[in-house]
Amino acid sequence: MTRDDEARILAFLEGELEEDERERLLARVEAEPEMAAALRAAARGMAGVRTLDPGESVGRRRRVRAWGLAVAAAVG
Amino acid sequence: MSDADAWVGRAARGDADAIEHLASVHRPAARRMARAVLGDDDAAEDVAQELLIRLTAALPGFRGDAELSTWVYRVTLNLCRDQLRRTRRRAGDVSLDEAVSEPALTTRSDFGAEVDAARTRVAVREAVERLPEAQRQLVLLRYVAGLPYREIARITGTPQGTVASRVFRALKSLGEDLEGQHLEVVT
Repeated sequence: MTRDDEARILAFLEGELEEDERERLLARVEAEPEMAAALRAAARGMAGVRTLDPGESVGRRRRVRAWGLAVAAAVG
Repeated sequence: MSDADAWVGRAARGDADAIEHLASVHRPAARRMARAVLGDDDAAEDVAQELLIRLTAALPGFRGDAELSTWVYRVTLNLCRDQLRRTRRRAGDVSLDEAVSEPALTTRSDFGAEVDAARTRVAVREAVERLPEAQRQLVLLRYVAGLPYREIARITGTPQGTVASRVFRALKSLGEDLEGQHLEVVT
């Protein structure tokens, strides 16, 4: 898989891929097991990481503060 | 106005034939997309059915086919994400004490679902912490801080294409890690 493929899968999962590109990607996913596995793994990872999004659910202030510090450290 | 836009206009006004036509177009598209993401025919069918229910309710708000197609795409992805989130660790993988330390548990009535959700979040946090430092930073900047790729590239001094590629690899690793921990999709 090329970096372009990776970027396209990411854009697809983020809901940003145009219809014609979406069609091409889905056709490749249906034809190439490696691409299908990569898409599904990334989808699972994205579904997981979005549970850490501060806007996703209530009652997570304590954790959000902790992750906020991690983000601040990442930004440096 | 295109034919596709005309179908949407008629459906938005409650024309049953037009609603049926749009369902016949968008349901298979949603099922195909969900199958690609979930890799499971039954789960994809569930997503397509739920999409159809939401589509019927949302139709009066649409002005054209392009808008509707984008809506179908994004709602289908959200429904797939919901499916993937309905995960739980096998009993005993995370202690109840660890799970109930989540404050949300005290405010929700569906205790079992909240315990599963809390366990999932614990597993995700641990998996994110296992990512290589560079990938972890990018994932946090993108999905916790919610920054656009352009801004992440500026902050980290990394080309935007490289940021996207690393974010993809991080998500893939994360997904494989979670799968490897025997997180089960609950359908």
